[in-house]
Amino acid sequence: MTSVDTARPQASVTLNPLRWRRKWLDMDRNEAVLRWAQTGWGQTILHVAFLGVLFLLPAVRTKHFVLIAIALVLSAVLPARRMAVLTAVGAVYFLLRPLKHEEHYLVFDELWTSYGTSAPTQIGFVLFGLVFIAFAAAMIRNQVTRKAGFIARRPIQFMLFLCVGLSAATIALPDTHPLFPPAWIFLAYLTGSFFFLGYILLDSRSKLALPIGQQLGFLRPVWAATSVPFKGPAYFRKFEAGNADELAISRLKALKLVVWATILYWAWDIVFNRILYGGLEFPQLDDAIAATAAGADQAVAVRWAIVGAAFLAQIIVFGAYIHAFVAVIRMAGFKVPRGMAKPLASRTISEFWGRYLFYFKELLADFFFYPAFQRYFKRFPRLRIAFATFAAAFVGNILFDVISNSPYFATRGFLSMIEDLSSYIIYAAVLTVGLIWSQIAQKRPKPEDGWWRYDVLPRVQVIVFYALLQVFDDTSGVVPAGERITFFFSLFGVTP
Amino acid sequence: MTSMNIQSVRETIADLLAERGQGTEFRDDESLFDSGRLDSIAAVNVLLALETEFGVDLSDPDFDVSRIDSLDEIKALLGATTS
Repeated sequence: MTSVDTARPQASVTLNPLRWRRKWLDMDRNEAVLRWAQTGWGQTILHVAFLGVLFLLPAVRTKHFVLIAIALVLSAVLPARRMAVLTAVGAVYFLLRPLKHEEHYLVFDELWTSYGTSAPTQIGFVLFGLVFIAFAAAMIRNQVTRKAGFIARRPIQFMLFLCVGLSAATIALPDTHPLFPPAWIFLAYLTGSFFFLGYILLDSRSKLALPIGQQLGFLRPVWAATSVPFKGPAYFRKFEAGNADELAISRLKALKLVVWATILYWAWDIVFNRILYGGLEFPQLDDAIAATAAGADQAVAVRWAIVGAAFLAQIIVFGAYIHAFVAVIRMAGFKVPRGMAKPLASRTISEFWGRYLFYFKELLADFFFYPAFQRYFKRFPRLRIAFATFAAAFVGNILFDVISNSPYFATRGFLSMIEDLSSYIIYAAVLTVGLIWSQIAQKRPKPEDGWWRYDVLPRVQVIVFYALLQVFDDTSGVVPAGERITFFFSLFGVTP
Repeated sequence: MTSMNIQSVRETIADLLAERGQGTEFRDDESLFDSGRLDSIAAVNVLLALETEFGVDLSDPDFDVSRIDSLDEIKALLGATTS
């Protein structure tokens, strides 16, 4: 200790919120906090705090909060068996909630009772779930043994053919036919788990592959909320905490992220849901589109404000949900990257696409971009990238929804479902053109371009592009594509 | 394999890191993709650079990106491919 040290004033407790914010953000780098987070009390308080904050998010509270809590607590109590615990809870989650859409559960219920059984529908989920798990296990084993050569070489194409065959069968067969229920149920299971199983199959020959039994737990890991998996089991192993320090860091990062997710969610709920769209009755985008098509006379500036508000609201609420589920993954001990990272700071169209929905973009890249890039136009680099981008952003993007929705073909009608996608086809086409241009021709701004051309203009261009694009980002078909086109042109003062 | 070629690949990786708002410094044994510093689209750019600079064909559909996770692994891969 020097005289200078003794003369330095003692650090006092500060009320400056910016300093508290900095302490909060830096806590996973603070040695004292890291040591505390590894104690019994520290782990207990971290889990109670995490689950308490997570409970404030309705999207989790009303779905599978209890399973998440069980998985996290058991993982903490049995750290050496973390992967086995997550696998077991994942299997339970899959057996209880195997399908994608709520409407699919109603159809399953009808088909289950058509078998003349009085047993609860949950028994049916477990029975068919076990059959599907046996199918998945056979697929994974085949990736290792390669007995069925074509399936081992092209597992995703094989599943796609299976989806097409089952969809055709459910469309062709009357629902009173004895083959209809098993065909529809298998299709619903397959499409609900398509990309989860796909990732398992892609990973199964990796050097980090788990035993087959544990891979099956990733058919529906406990952090899964939609049909977009956060990558496959081998990916999680890369990020798995290897010691107590890394686990503490991962959990502290999880707590920070879930708090941020909750702030975003409640900001969205209060500012947009309750005040803007509730109290002030500001028009929502789809309502404004329908009203414009019906001849409503609104100022162009108001329409732009509607588009801007909807875009901002969507980013905030998507961010809240994505952060919440990534936080669960981190709390389980896997320090994976965020699913959304400052999208509004993007300076190019392709950068935004990567920052906005990181794991969906990765899914499209893993299942569509890479395979196309590895196979086609190898001698023409720019065409190669353009075609691979088309395969991912257009074909993959649309196929993702077609696969997820294919059980609807039999219940809502094939042509009706395809018609509902027409707006999304426009969306995917424009997005594809934008991404190809961005990757091949867009000039990347540099700091030396100056504040306006580096910090402002590129970001404004990207935000306007994606804000306008959301006018067509719809797969429900509730507001037809024609009305969306009319609204789009009305933003520029062009009305029919 | 020349040091000039490797330097070019290093510059490509540094550019990709800079584009993603990250520091351009990285060690030869540092994980680039598994660590999340670079994403799968960046991997394509690295693959293209390797094909252009070294004339190797890495277009096997089963090619695993983890084989180019660090500059050391890239050197090992190129050593195996070009030998």
